[in-house]
Amino acid sequence: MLWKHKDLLGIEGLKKEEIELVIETAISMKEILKRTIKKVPTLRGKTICTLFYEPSTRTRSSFELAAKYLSADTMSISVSVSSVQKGESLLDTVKTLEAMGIDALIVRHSSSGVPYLLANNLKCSVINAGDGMHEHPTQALLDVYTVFEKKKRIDNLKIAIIGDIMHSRVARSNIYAWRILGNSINVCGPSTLIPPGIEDLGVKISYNLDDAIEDADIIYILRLQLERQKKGLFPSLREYHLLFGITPERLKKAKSDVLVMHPGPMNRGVEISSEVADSIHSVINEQVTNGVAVRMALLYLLLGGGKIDETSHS
Amino acid sequence: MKLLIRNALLIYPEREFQEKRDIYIENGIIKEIGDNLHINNIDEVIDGEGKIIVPSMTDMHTHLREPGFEWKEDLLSGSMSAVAGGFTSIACMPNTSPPLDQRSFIEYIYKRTKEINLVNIYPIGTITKGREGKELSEMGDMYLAGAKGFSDDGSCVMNSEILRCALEYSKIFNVPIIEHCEDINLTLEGSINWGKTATLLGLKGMPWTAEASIVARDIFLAQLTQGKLHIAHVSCWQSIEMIRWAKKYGIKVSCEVTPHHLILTEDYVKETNYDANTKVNPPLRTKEDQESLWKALEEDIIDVIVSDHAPHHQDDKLKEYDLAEFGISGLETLVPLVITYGYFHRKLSLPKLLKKISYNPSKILNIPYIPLEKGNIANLTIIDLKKEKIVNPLEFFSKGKNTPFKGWNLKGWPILTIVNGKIVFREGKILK
Ligand SMILES: [Zn+2]
Repeated sequence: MLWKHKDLLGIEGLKKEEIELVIETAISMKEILKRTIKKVPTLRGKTICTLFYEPSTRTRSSFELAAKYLSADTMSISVSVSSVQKGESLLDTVKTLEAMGIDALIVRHSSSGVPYLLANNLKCSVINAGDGMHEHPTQALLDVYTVFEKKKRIDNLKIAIIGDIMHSRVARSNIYAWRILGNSINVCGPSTLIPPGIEDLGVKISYNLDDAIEDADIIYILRLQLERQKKGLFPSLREYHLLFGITPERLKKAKSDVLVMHPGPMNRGVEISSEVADSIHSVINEQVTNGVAVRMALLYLLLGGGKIDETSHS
Repeated sequence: MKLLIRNALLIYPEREFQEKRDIYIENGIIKEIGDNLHINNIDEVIDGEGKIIVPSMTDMHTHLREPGFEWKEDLLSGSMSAVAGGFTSIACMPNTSPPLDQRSFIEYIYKRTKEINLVNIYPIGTITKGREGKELSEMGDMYLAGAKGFSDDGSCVMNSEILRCALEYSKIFNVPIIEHCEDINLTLEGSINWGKTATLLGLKGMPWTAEASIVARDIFLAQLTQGKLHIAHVSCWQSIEMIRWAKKYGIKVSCEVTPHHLILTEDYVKETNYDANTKVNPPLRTKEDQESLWKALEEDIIDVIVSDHAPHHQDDKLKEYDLAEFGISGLETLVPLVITYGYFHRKLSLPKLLKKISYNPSKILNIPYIPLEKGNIANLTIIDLKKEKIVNPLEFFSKGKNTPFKGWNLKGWPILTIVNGKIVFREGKILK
């Protein structure tokens, strides 16, 4: 099985084997991360650019570390929303970057669909690091990888995704990924934060948290954007926690070996209580570590670096 | 100029009738209609086989962008686009900058129309001053200057009392209030139809309710006031059902639909991977809505087909979907889209279809309609039903190259347009 795509724009449309290939590749990348000297020459001579129109220290540093561990050169550009409004169009910006000779562009943008626009207009590889409310494919892949590490399987699982499904690209990418791999999914949150037609993706909807997490293997908790309350989408943080916050008592409904996941950063005491976040069920820190391994795997697959073996004697 | 067209299918939209005849035009006047006409010293004979002749084609909803956005379109490029699209008359919407909200702007449109001398342009004035939805514009003064209707198009008149007054006041002049029906509180930041596709694409949706609830409100206001209401670009089945109800109760309401709402659905946004040329307001809706539009067209619940010609510069479209402008450059594709999909695919009759692009809009706006009759000035279009062509926006006369139909193969293109007796467009060329 080889990776055939120029870009990684979303999970939608990927094949089961392709997700498995990423996981397999990530396993060998994780080996590298365990070494004392975490650097291999695989992508030497390649230049990777991160272009973030939305701040995210977490995702950006994860990508940059992944690139550096593979010996690629990196360049990072942050564009604030205010400077976008002032001037240069998105396409002009990326065409300039391409003219400088980059091999891959990792883009985060608050507008859904931007990675498609770029991929259609650029020859280099485009990786979606989160576009609006659409997709965040590398997050879903690192989540799958984390589950694989812990459960040794990525199918026949019962997954509950809790929170603001409407505005969450993480939720969409995770739903695609887990459905492609053949798992059952419940989504749960305030009805105002459940988008229309989500059931067409093959998920069950519940507004009752206890029902949604009953016998779950995985509880995936989404970050609540606190400003949604001001838009009237739910009445108060207090009530949100009461109805949808994951507490130790709530956890008892799920399986005894349930994994608790969160893409971070967390609002402790809102969507997740500290006891849960720091409990043995929580794999939130592993998600972060695995993010680097999975992104190394993707850069390797997309940029067609040398054999991974050659990495072992460096 | 003596022009004889032999054996063309003549369309009489005003009586939903068609017949094959010869038609002879001399110096811009229809001199004879009949069979096997014998005319001496003819300058040109056109073989009418496979061609139809339609009188007074009118697009009552266009945006010509002048004044204020001349780089997107101006009255000259818009006029060329109109005659290339086969239209002898168009109405232009007032959401320019400044908006057409006073007599001087209406006069300006007529002055430029006369100078350009290609197509008849009839300006629509704003309903409210500055198009702000707060105070009525000087409708009477604008009417006296030639405004043919009033609209704040691009925006809805959200204040119900203001709209009530507009419908009441416009009765003095018997002109339509053309409403862009959209409850903006429900569509804020939206860029696509609310529903499954919006969810999949992660775009903020604009629910049908935003349109249909205002359609319902406006219909009740029209009933209350007895004013003339024209609903712009209907797009969902719920609006259609409201209009059907209103017509049944004799409320003075008419409405229009665009080719893109008839032919495209929200799925096309996904198929084209966020091509912003699919971004329109109201948004492309569902298959179910689309079917209801065709049915309503057939049943004459929908009176008019319009382009909602909304030319934009490439920079406004080749960008982030949610930040791109709304609208399609539609004047030059309306006729072949309607012929291809209405006539060839859906088998609707030509007189019925073409009535919605000629007679009906003329009657709603109360502008001249000149049928194909001996003695009348020629104000007509020849459409070649056999002519197939790939849509190439670079060939548009409009400055707006924004079309989702790029690369589509369409059949039934206008090949000759005569406005007020003068040939102004022929086989891809503007004649001045
Ligand atoms: Zn409008």
